Amino acid sequence: MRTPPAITLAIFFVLGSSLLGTTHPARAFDFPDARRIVSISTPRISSDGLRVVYVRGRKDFAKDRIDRQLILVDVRTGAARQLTYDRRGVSSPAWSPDGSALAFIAEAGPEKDAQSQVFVMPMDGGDAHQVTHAHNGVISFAWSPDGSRIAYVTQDDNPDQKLVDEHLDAFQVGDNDYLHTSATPPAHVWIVKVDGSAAHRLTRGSWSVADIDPDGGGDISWSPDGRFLAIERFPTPIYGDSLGERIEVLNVATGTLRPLTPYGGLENFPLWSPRGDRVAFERNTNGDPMNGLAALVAPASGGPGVDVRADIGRNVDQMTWSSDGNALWIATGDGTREVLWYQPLAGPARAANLGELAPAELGNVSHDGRVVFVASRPDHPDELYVLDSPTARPRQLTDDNAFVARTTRASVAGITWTGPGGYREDGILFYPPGFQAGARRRWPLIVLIHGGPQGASVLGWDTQAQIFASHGYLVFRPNYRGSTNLGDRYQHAIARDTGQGPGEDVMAGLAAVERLGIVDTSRIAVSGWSYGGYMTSWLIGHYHVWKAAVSGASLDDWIDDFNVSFYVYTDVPFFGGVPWNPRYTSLWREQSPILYAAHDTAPTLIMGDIGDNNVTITNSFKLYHALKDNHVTVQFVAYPVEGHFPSDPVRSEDVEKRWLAWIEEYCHAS
Amino acid sequence: MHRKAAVVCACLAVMAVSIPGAGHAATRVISLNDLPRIVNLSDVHLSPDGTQVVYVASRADMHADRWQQRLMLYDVARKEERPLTFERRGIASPIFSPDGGRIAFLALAGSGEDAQEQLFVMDMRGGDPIQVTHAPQGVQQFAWRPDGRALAYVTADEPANKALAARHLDAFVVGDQAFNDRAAPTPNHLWLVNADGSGNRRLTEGPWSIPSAQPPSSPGPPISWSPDGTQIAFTRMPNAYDADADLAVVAVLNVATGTIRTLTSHGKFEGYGEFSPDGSRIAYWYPYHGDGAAQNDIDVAPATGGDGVDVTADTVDTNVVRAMWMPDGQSLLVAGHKGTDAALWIVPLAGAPRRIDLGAVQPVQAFWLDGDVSRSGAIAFAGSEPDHPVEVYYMASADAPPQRLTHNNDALAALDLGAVQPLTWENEGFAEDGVVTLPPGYTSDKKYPLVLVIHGGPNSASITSFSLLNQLLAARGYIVFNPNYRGSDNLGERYWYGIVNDSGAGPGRDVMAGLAAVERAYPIDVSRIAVSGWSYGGYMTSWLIGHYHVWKAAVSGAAVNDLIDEYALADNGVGWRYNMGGSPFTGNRLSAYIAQSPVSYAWQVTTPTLILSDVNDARVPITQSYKMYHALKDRGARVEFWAYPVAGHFPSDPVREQDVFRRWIGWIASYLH
Repeated sequence: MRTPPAITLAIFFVLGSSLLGTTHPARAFDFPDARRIVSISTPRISSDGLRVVYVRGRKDFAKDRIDRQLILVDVRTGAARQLTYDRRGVSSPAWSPDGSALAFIAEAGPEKDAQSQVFVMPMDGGDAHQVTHAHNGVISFAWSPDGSRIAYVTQDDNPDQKLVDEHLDAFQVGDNDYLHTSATPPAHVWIVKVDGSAAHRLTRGSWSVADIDPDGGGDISWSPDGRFLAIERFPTPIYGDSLGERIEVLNVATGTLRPLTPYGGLENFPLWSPRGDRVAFERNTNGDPMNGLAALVAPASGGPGVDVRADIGRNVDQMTWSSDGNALWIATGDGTREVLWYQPLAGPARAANLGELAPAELGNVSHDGRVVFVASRPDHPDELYVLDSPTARPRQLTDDNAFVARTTRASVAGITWTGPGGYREDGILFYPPGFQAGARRRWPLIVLIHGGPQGASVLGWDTQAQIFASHGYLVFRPNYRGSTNLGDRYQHAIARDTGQGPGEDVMAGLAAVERLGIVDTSRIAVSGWSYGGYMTSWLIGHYHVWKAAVSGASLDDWIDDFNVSFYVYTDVPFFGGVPWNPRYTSLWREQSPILYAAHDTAPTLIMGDIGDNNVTITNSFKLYHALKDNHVTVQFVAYPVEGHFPSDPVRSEDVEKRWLAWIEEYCHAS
Repeated sequence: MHRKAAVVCACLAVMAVSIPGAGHAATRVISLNDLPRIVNLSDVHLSPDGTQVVYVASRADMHADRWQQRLMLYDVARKEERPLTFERRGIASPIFSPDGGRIAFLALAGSGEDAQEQLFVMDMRGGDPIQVTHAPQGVQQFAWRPDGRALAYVTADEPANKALAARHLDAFVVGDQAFNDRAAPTPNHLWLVNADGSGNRRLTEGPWSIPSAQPPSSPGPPISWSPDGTQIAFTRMPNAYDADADLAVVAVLNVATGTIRTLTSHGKFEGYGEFSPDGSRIAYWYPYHGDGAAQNDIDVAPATGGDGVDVTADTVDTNVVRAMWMPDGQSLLVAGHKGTDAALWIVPLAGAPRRIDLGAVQPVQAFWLDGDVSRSGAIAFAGSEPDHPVEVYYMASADAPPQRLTHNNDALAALDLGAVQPLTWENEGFAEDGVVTLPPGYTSDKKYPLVLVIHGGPNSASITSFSLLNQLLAARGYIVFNPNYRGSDNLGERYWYGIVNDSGAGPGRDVMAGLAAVERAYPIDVSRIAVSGWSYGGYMTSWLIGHYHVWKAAVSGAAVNDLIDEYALADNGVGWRYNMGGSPFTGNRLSAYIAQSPVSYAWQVTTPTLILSDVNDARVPITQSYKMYHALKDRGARVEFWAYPVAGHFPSDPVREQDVFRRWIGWIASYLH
């Protein structure tokens, strides 16, 4: 799914290993517990509604990787059975339309040259067989409705590979990020019979199916009659050019393409309705990329879309069709909660009654209308749930993280305040174990700011905040204008005001927390990663209430973000024009935290990945030199890896440990 | 240590080409196809008696895309040479033992990515060279102990977190280092090993470090034994981050006791200390008046300690790139640019220096004189002439005329090459200069298109040495102009200092004054002028296309376009505080950095521009090319940006090097016709 330029990060999604049969005295949830948390993702229910497959990930600290395998769950009994063993790179399980087989992506080939390929596993026993043999691996795939074929997306070969092998490998730079070492070939749609035969290409050209970097992409959706595929088309293979991305309809027999709508841009995530007459997709409200994503439904024959979630008025985080094609299931933030809506194509939406559950990942819907999803509670990490109908109560299907109940966890509450400009704003507060209301004690506070900025902190499980709280801190996760949980006006308000307004929002939130009378105001730390790092860098340059700061993978210089990250033109809506146009240059500069770094005084830990193409390490280098040159206490720790956050368990734990240790050094709660 | 932030491409300075058996040579001009026939020469050293020269010859292997190296031995009396090595790689620093009976050299040992430079000793009576070091981090430099029984060498410490890093706990604390480093540097220290490989032991340790080479720049400051073998002079910086080498000083190690003393009270900007032959003095590098922005002088201090006397400031008044003691111990051989020449002087400790008459010969002085002085007083160096690529030159004494010893590139010299002429002009009180290369067959009867090729540095200079790129362009029918500009290191301290806090505007006016002089002196078609350069030459190109609109095409290679990026991201970036009066992040200096950055004027560019850069260039980060590219593209200027997916400030392999020249020349040709 494509969001607007989202400098965001789902780092603290829960991962880990399970624990069975050991007992511990209750103690505060801490790093060793986080290691054991199991991740649950990509739930897919069979069409008969009886079985769910999902990907379970366990952290392997010895090998420093996450072992992901497929798990099958019986919807009636909850009995679980592991389907794959020792496979690498398992993802994207998909039932065959008749439920007799499972397709999934896994790595094939020797380790160094391993590529992601599609496998199909018969569900009446037998080896999974490899269906695709794509040179450059498979980005995504979809079963044809009759189950006989699989459409998949793969990247073209580099047409200049022979020259490259001769070291004539200079490549022409476009709107790519600065870490690129070759031109990016486009990704295109191919089709193959399920027995692996007759693989052939369906599309070609210099345009590309939306690629995997950075937004997942590769989404393709069959029409129920198997004649068409709805695809997500980028004008070029480069994300920086992707504001022009649109949904097109591919005639599978002829290879011809037509645009679905007249909009010409900002469209993504096509979903063909089960009835075949409509295609749903996401697009920013009113075509303004600074607005939240709306859920649009257009006639499959072509034409403008209708925003079916206008009443909800919140950014669409995820969506899927109901089984009868009369409604969409939509997940959005709403204030301090993540809500799952049943949204008929006409008429008001109904929020599912999920109690304390915060949906983390929406799965799919069975023919009889059951919907599966992954959700957490404020005191429990992700598990798998099913709703038997829109009005049913959720049933929990897994208890992979049961061990967490044997630890003491922070209690969690939402907090609201009125911010500058009259916005009714909110955030989440985590209370350290042992916290007692009314006691005279004051607690040190860690402000922990989400990234995005298109994102939101809502009530749900939060490993990092739980650990920090267990070390004796109040943890405050503020939302701020630009967050996705309070509607388009709030989300849009960050345009041309990327620091000052959001900074005032956070400070208003901090004042609200302080009014509770429980904060030791001499021991407040501010921290965040990505846009949360931007906010941290901004706040230490503008306010001087901080005892310590942790600025991770922070955006400190908007001009770098445009020029050397993968965002390029997708950053332009923040400011209205390109940075080198003299009309706009000062706007880009003045809203960059680096301009105010000379005012910083808080001891600051900077962290980042050398190979981050999202928020480039160049930002951190500038912040580091600025703080050092102004004699501010600063340490800059870099990870020699790719990505926006270390993806392996060892380094990601190291980040969190350094983060906490830095704050401990200056705020010493424990 | 005062090693300037060299934003330059040494590769464009002097290159050489040979065409074996090209009997028809004089009838044709040079072309890109001649480039693979290059023989490059480097690392010229003399035997103690001055009768033999050893050097490294490198030939392009286009198929394997690498340089095939051989260590060559030239017998001066017999005028014969022979190769000493067979299929070795990474050969460098061949140095005779004090008795002349052995040659120690560095070469790669091990295979693949684990190969490291190690120290070998070759017995000149025959036999396989002995690998005397097995340093896990490789050997950077070495020096024979005067008794010839042992060698001191410099190697980096192993990372303290090696075991943790193997478990992926490889996060590192960043200091003043490049944006693309993937580990913290470790300190370099002195070790001692017997010439037979036995008795290997560490001599120094600690968080401080001996600066290492950061090409393109001067080599790491050599270590120097006292003649009695009891002490080693070396350069010591406070930490392992090479960008902090401005805080380096000359220190002296007592080998027996391990005690270390600093030579002077300066506390910074020093380096390259060398004991005099009698051990009584140490000559070292120190900037004029101890000003970090000033040019490099040579100071001489008593070896027992003291602040020393500047022996070059008021006499040779140039940026010194090397000084070597003459055998008498009363004078130094000093190298530096002077006008459009690479000059050598004999500088006495007292009295006036004497410039050596080199005729048309230009010693290779890319931040360092590639040459040697023997105990007999003979001098040898790598050098070129305007119409002859690099060879080994020899002088029996400082009074003898230089003699071309080798003939590696004679065939290229026999081609129809363009004439090379110095040009001078006045601008804003400076007597300025540059070099003009004329097309073969030049006649003043017709008008010629003009190509500017601007040197990098900025603290370097264009001189009348052989230049491959100039000749390639001239062979296509262009007059080529290499302007020097304030900041160049060839016209003394005042000129050198003229670029301080005036990175673009003043140097830009110098170049434009030079262009006017060229137009007065030569028949230029003013509608067909291109401007180009690499590194700081890329800066100048980007600056000039943003300020003047006389250009038909531009090539901006590895350009410094954003001084803030250069300060914050480059391997030696923080050194810019000396040129800019301080950090961009303190005071109100940010506006000065912005005002002096070419990208701030990119919106005014109309010139069709080719941008070239290496993806992993630590000296001028590619981020700056991305900025120029986006600015020109969004402005609507014609722009192409080609990136090389390699490390380094210029592609170091022959295939990509040829490709750079092909694109450079091709872009210009497509607009100048």
